[in-house]
Amino acid sequence: MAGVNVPTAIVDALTPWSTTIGVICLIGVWSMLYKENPFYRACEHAYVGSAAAHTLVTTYANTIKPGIQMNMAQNGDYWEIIPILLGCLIYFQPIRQYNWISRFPMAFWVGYNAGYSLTLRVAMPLFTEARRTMLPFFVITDGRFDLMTSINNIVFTGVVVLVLVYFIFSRNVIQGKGVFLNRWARIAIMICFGAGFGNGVANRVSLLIGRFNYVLSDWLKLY
Amino acid sequence: MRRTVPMVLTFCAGFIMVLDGFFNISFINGFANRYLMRSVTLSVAWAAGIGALNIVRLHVRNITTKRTNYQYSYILLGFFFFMLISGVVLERHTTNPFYQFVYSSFQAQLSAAVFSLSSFYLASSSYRAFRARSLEATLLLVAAVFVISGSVPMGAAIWSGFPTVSQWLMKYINDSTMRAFTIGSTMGTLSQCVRNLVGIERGHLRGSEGG
Repeated sequence: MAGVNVPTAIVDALTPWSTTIGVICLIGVWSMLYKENPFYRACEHAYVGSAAAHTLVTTYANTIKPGIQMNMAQNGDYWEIIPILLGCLIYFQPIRQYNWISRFPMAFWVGYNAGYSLTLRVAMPLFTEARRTMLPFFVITDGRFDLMTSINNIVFTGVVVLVLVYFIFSRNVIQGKGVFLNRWARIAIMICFGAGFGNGVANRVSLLIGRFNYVLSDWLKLY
Repeated sequence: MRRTVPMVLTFCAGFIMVLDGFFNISFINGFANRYLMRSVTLSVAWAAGIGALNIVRLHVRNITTKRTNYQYSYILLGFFFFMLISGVVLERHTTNPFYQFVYSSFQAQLSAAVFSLSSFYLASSSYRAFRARSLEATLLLVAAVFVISGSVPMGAAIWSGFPTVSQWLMKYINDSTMRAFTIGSTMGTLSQCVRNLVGIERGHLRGSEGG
């Protein structure tokens, strides 16, 4: 199926406006920082609409069209009609009288993913993570005892064990002197959250810098 | 019929994948790799429109019943159909220059703007979270300060030890705690998968009358 095309002249005429449109969108979204306003609401709705459409277009271009054109028409894989029909059964979901039909594809996906997770997706990383946690407590480097690496390994393994104990055994199970384990685990978790939060802040600030860069450099050409 | 058949479907699809993962049976391995995986990809792709369908239904209802702020629904539907039609009809779809222009001018910019907006909210949440009211809160504050200072050049200029401490915290405390979370959540996921397969957990089969 040959698609239509927009004349190159039109695209060339529109392209210089791309940055300006982007800046207008940015101002619209950031106007929320002052207060909720119609400009922000318009941008928000435009974002939801365009994101939903883009997901559909990507799925169509990458999976649906090649499936019909190459697999069915060229290779003769007509069995693919069965999963296509199964997937289409989900569209019964909004129809109250027949929405039980939408359980069929859902059941298939849940079953497939559960089985897949039990083997590769989840179980294998679990074993890999567990094995990577078992670090040597006495590290010998170049024939000499490596104190720092040994302490770091003890800290690493100790924190993993403490946090696992904290989550698997609740306060009711660990009583008396064992409660101090919970306290140390909580300390480790709070440091982790602090570090994670700090990392998140740094990442978000880099996004913010990217936007400022877009306005000052790409649009205003200040540098 | 309404519950038994989906449960059998769940069990069969999952059981074949388990057999494929743990045993070297050429028929099962071939079936799983050739048909089952492709079936999931295709059925999910054809079902992708259900979310969009729900959005369209909701906003068409907003317009027809003239609910509060229904005018914005015109914008949403306009952008949705404009991008959908241009993406499907145009030659080369997502790589078409016109679609690229629309995508990079609107969708990509709005997405970047929305995500950068969260940095302002993060700053305000930091103000509330970073209060040394207890030992745990103080540790959170100190760890965050070290990591933030270690990630920016200014931190290293103030004290050259910031990047080292930041890396140590990320490598030995953050990674180890996250690893414990991963191990714990993985064990939970595995038990949930088994419950799904044998039909103890039936949350995905809810949503309609009858049994």
